[in-house]
Amino acid sequence: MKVKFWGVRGSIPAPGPETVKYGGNTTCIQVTLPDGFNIILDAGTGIRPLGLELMKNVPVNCAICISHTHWDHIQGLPFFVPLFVPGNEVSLYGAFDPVYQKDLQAILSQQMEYCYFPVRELDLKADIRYHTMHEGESIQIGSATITNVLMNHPVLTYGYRIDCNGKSLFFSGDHEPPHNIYSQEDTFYGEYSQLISNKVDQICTVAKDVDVFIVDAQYTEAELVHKRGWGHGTFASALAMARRSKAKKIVFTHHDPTRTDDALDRIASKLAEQARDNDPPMLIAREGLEIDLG
Amino acid sequence: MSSVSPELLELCERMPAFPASVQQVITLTSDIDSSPKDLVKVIDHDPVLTMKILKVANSAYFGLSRRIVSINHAVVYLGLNTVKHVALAIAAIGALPRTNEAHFDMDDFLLHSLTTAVITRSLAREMRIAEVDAANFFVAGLLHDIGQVIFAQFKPEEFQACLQEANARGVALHEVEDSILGNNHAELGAVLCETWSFPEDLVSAIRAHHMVGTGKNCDNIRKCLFVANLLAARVNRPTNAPPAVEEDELPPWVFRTFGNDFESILGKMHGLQTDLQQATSLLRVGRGA
Repeated sequence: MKVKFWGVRGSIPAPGPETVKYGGNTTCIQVTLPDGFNIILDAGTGIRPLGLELMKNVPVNCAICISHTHWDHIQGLPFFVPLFVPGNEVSLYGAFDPVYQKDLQAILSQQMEYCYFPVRELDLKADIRYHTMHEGESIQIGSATITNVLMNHPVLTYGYRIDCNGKSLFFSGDHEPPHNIYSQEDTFYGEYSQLISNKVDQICTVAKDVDVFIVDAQYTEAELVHKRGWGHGTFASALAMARRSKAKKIVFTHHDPTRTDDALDRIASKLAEQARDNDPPMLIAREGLEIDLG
Repeated sequence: MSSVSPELLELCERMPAFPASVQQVITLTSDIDSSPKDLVKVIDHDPVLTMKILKVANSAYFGLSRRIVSINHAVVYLGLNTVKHVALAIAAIGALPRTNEAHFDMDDFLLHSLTTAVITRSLAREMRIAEVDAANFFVAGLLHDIGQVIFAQFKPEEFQACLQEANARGVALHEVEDSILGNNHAELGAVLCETWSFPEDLVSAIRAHHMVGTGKNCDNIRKCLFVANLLAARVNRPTNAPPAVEEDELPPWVFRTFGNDFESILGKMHGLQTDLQQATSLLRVGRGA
């Protein structure tokens, strides 16, 4: 199983001279199974160049798992060329949104309404299939097993675990570690802490022992103070989850659009300095980064 | 049991929440600096909001392997925003009218529901049930009479006749409902909660909240709710209907489990008055007091 990063940015693309090294495209991760089948995690702007790459070998047959439908995770989809070409087969997987009462197909069709985009979803020529995944469900995609787990973000977000031939990875999607809404003296503080602990255990059980743990680390601890409730983790919280899951490698991603190459380099050095002896290797995701799990 | 019509279930989907909660939900959600726990408190204390959020949380869309049993649980599991948006969507439907054609006193209903909820949870604590599970007991108390609001809202004439007859003859409301409406509020509430995949023990406790039982066949949540409902009627005697059972008619298991008599059961519950005051404070806000 091979993993390749095509988009590592959160919120909005951030092109420019200060993001050349790590890249400015929004979230898109290509997972290639040993038999060559591709599972794509999220469809941020990074999926556009990936689509061009895939078109070198037609017909394209791939699956796209959407963590959630915020812009930065779907905005590349209308520019994913394989969708336009007859003979290609693309399966999309994601959650049903209980607040808006819409499934993935309804949301993505709206994204391509004529006032937003010149080609309607109906006019896409590839064989496109939508699959709603229930929370906690494990399904077979090609030779891999995909298991989702509900994360903590303003909209319903799935984290995905992929298992294939004894190798595994976990992708958190967007995730903020839940924090206790009560103060210590409140009656419900204890109950709420227990609920949080159960929730974190559930996520870390799904991600247990993975070879690669790819995780939202949009903020620093200092930034989070002002951005609590926005639905993103920090380098520290991401590391804590990876440790609790006993992951064998950590990749921090979903970089804040304001985070420059220099800033990410500084964070990487600091993480390396502070790493504990038994910590797994840590990497900062950048466009083009490839990890071969063997 | 008699069937509950699909139309009635559908009408429940459109049932608005209580006026005080609607006002609070709108105020709190429009203030970006409001505290999440204040919002949770408003939702947690409104039977309609609680019911609908648990409905979404336990819906087939998720097909969760575990049942969401309380609002705190829903907030941790689904995220604050999901809960907030569902609450706001319900608030947008409007508020239950303060007066209704059935002449059913909604404030009195809310007071009884909240009092029962608080006492059910206190009894659970007395039984040394873990805090996380005790939340389920609170919800059982909050929702046990929800069938009455549905009758008042959607079958006002028949329900008014039930209330009048129960009061005139001094008999239990659920018995009169059975004869006039063909089913009773306990059954209706249970069917609703069942349709929305609420936890099984919660459903059966609501269904049986007027059935005395032998004690042996009752689980803890059923025992606590049954007794709490009677104790709540002692704390605030409801004006809507007479209590179904008097203290001296109760079977021995009640006193074996909880204490010698109502007075002593209520007396030994630690912090009950404070809990009751806290729970009903929102009600006073709503009434403009």
